[in-house]
Amino acid sequence: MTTLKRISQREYDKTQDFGSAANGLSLVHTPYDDFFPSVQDPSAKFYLDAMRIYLGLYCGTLSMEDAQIVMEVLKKNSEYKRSPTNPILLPLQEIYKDKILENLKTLTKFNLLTTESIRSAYSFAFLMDIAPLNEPDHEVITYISRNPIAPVRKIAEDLGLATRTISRTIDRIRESHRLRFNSLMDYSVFGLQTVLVFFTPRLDVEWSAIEEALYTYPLTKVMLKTTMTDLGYLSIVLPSGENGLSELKSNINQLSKTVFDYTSVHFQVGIGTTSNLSLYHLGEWSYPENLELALEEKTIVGPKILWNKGLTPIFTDVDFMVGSQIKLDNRSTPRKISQALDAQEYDVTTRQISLSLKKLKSHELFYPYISFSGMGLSANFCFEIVCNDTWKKKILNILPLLPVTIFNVTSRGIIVWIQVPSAHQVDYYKLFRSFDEYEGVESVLPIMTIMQKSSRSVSELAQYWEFRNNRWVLKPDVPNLVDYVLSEL
Amino acid sequence: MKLLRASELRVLRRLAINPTINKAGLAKKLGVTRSAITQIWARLEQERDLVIKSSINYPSIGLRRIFGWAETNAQSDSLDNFTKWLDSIPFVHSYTKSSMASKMNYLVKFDAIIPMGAQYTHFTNQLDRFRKRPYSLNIFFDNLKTSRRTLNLGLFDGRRWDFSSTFRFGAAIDAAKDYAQVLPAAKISRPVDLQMTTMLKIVLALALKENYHITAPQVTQLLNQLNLDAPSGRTLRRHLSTLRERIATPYVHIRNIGLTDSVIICIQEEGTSTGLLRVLNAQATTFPSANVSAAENLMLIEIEVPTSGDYLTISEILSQLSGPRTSICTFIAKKAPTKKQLVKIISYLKSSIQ
Repeated sequence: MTTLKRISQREYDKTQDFGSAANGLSLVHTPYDDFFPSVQDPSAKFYLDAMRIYLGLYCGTLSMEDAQIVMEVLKKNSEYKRSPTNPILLPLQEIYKDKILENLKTLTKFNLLTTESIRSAYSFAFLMDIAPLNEPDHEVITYISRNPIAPVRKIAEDLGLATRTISRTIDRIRESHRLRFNSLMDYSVFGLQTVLVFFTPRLDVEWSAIEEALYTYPLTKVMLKTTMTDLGYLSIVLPSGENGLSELKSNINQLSKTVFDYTSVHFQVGIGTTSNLSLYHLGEWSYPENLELALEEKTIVGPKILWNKGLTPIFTDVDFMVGSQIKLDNRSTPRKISQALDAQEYDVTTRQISLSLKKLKSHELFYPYISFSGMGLSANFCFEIVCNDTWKKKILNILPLLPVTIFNVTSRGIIVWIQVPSAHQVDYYKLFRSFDEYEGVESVLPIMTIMQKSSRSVSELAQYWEFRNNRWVLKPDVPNLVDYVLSEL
Repeated sequence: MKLLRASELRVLRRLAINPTINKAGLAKKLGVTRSAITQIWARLEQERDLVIKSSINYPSIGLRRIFGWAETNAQSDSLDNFTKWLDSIPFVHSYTKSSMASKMNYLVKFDAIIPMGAQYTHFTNQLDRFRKRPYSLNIFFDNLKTSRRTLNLGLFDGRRWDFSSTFRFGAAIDAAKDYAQVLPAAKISRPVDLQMTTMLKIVLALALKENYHITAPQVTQLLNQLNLDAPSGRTLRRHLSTLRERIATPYVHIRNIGLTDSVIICIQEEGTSTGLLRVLNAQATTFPSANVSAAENLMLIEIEVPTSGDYLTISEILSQLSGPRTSICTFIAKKAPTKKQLVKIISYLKSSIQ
């Protein structure tokens, strides 16, 4: 079986052309270098460097190929664990360039050079303005939301348009609305388990200390904490074999006696996503009709769910890495995948990739979908709903009626992430909160955020695993959660 | 929203700068005829409820204004019972419930105007009762020390508001924190000695609250409605003039200008002031429209925004400013807050005082 090879030694380390994680990407030049304030803190430098990469790409002083190499340098900055942003994935638009420059000027004007201020300057620059979609574009995006892997030729045929028109429309929406062709993937076949934890810290424990510990823990995929409430959310992906899960459960139990006041742990058994673009018309979203009726409707099928298939020992670490690239772009070609893996110092040929893709797709490990922004879905909620199976089905029934959702089905209930227009945020909030009045629903816990939090890719977590006997296992030197958190506090 | 004409916007902007200006003064400032101003003003009154109201120095008329909020984490009967109680108390001028709050809890904000003495003690004791079992509400309240109303029409072009809670908004507040000590302190309402009967000054003051330009005949009508003796027109005009000068601070009240949603910011500080309340008071003009009520360690800012879409970013920005001794909660207010009619309040005050 093919196994993943590291590029043992490059003739020349290209990353040194651009700088280092500690000292910053000072060798990445842009015409706007004078806008950048001087800071010493590596965490603050991280966000300035992310802006530098974006501006470099925008004005052409940085090629995409070099940007990918530079990103590998940026990822070595410890702040990346807290905020796994990737400016390469953002569309190059004048509005974002202007916002970055405006925010950099504000930082200098008010002498705000803390990490928090610079982080805010970066995040706010990319808060998407609303750009209404015209009807032809809406028709195309609606089609691809239902058929995310349909070839351009098929889209053109079904919509009665020229293939060139379709290609141009897709490119346009990519630029204007950050259209991306993503995939969910079933990691369980590689012996991995996703664990989701909601928690609040004890009153005598500083949030900032826990935050730091959890962000930097090697197995953390995403850590979310809003400034407004004490509730936090943590997603961990870890090898499930060799008592990994029972040890994690025990760790969380120990932490709930020392560090956490409240914990709620979920083991993911399935995942899915829905979108309902029929609610959108010329820049406005309507509220779906008959949501409450849909809760009661027994004949509704509900959305497609990617269920955990469990360990399947025919897959290899190459398959895993290839799959992780498909997650980011389900229309990526073997050549692009090879380039991306090369930037991460993995040596995988296009032929290996083609064979791997065939195998992965034939076992239905992917759940393709599209993601987009700037269409007025500015309110983001997460609801942790602890409920019985009847209520899981009821809730799943209504999700396809909502604008955009991602959901995790777990052994204890369902976790739903929704993106809705701010005009209806109160309505959706009240709807979900009202579920806890019903028998069968134990609790509904909400979190609200400005924007979807980006997460570390699973391939980045793989540096802490080894691939043995057709499954991922933890490297022996990876600390367990409780030791790690307590040592950081 | 019906678009505002350029002439209407010019009048409003001038009024926002100087709400005491009368129609003749406006005509002179804007270089138009008085009849033109009269027409514009009438249209604004009719289509947008324009009226110049005023904030009142309550201690000067023997009253206290109490402001505050009650909050609970779980949806329960306690907050409903509390709201029903607020509704039953004639001194409670208004209350507003939350539709959605930044801490994902449930709140109701309230406002009361109470005579000093036994009624005040009774009211505050009742508030304390709701803090204890079986209600166990978190209730924060205090006597109003300062209030401020702002309307920033510079953000409005007659069609849309140029307001969004951007990075710059947060940065400006963050930067101002370092200069909190040199920001002007808000003026505290200290009692002013007025040479008139208790009831008369209450009626006149509360009438001015609703309409800064209220006329003597209108006041006479109100006094008759309340079965109170009305002084002569001349005396009334003199009293109104005194009160306007000494205890009333006018502001522009207007509707239907695209500020459809209300977001309320509740801030509580423990111990010595961090200066944050001073900063927020000073920065209130950043918002399209703001009503700031403050005491030593408590502040309520009611802002009106074009859309509650900005509520979350405002909440996040403000939460980042709060420290270990400051608690900030924002909520989207339910539309149509409950407000009691002036005549009812005065009638009750009359029966309480006499």
